[in-house]
Amino acid sequence: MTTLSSPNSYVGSYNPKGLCQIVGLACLAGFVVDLFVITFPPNLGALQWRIAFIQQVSDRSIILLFGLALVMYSLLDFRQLRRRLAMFCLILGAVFCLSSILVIRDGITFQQEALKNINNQASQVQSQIQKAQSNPSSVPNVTPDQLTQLSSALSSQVNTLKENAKTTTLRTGVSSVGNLIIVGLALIGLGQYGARPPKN
Amino acid sequence: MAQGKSESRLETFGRKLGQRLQTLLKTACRTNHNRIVTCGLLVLLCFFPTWCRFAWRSISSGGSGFLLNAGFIYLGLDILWKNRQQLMAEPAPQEERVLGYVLILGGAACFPLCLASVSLQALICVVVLLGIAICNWGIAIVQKHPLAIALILVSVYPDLGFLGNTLRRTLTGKQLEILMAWLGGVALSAIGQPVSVEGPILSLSTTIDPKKAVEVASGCSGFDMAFPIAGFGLIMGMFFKQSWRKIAALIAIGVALALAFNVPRIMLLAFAVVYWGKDSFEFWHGPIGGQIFATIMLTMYYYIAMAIISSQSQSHKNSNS
Repeated sequence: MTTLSSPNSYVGSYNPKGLCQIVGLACLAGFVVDLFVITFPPNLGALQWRIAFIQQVSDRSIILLFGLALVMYSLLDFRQLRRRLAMFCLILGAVFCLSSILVIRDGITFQQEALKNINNQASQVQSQIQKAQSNPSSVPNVTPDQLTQLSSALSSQVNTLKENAKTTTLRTGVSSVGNLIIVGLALIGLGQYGARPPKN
Repeated sequence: MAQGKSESRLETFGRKLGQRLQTLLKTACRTNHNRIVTCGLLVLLCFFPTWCRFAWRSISSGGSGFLLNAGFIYLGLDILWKNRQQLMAEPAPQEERVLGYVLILGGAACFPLCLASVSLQALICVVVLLGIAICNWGIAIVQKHPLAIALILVSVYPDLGFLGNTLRRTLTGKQLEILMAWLGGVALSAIGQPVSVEGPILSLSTTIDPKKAVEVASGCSGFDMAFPIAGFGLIMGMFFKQSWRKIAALIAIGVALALAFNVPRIMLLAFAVVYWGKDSFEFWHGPIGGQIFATIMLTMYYYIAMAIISSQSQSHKNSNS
């Protein structure tokens, strides 16, 4: 009789929590190693470093979420540890959501700097063209018509460059902010689950 | 005598106000919870003058953007107020309180870093408001009344039209302008005018002629009219407690009308630029010309919207009987 019911009871008797613990801890350790590599050497004052840092953290944050979820599952029976981990997840989730504000701020500053650079370079070239226009003998091979064409071509090119700079920074910004907010909300949800796991 | 009496009244009023403020201050500083919530409220108070300034600018220039904010706040608060007993019955669990505190304090810490941008300040206020809601009533308030929370949070942004337009320009580029120029071209050729269209540029000649051309710019794309109308459709539909299908119909018809009425406007502006001179262009392009078009369009929209709303209540009556 016992052999008949054995297939089901075999599946039930193994505990998958140990497995989850191993994979979860490996994910977390991998994330920490990555974080370590990204962070050092820290250069918090530099805009470029901050943007690159947040972007890489947000790209890898899914691993963090996955690892924390697996560890949470393996700790479901240990009330004290589970609640501490849940609190950690909640706070980490809030920090992720809050850091997206700083990412947007940095993105705006970066965009403004890029636009300023484009404007500076354009005005330099434009002033050279004007110089040539006011003094045609300095450039004997170029007609005034060609200079006017050049000037209008330059301004249209500058506009395209500006539009491109705007869309590029916006797209990268949206992708990292989106990741940060989604993982942040998921971490908050995980923390909420871990604090009071629903019983079946 | 009368003056002395009024002065004493003023004095008692001042004394009572002082006492009230004192008790309020004491309550605000009594527990850690109250202190943190007060900190969040202070952040909101810092943003309030900016919000009011935008509102005043919108109202004083005859804009309708602020009405959207007011309507959204009213609808959101209305939903929460109707469920206040249920909300009060369930205080937040400890860990959700901590989450709320982190959001409030983090937002307050970010606020001084973001003084340069009004949009970021608004975003921080959204986070702080969420934090205050979560540390008082738990995440449950967001899960149970997502619509009310979303309406209130959206209305924190002082210039929703600008936000919508920026999003549209980023996501779709100049497609709406090009579509409008094309529609204007089709309508002009239908009344027998020579017309050519290239991208957002419309020219009243058989080839593109810079002297006879108008460019459909971002402000003339009809979006500035379609966006508030869509918002009012939502507000009206929710205010009259319509079904979501009817609300979607109200919004869709409003947007379609706004874009449709933009076509004759573009035609008129093209005529004004090419044939009638600068003064007439300024008149039709300026606030008065815009108001004339808006008046005609809103009158039509009113009758259509009311027809939709009353048809629903009639079908209700029929189904009830």
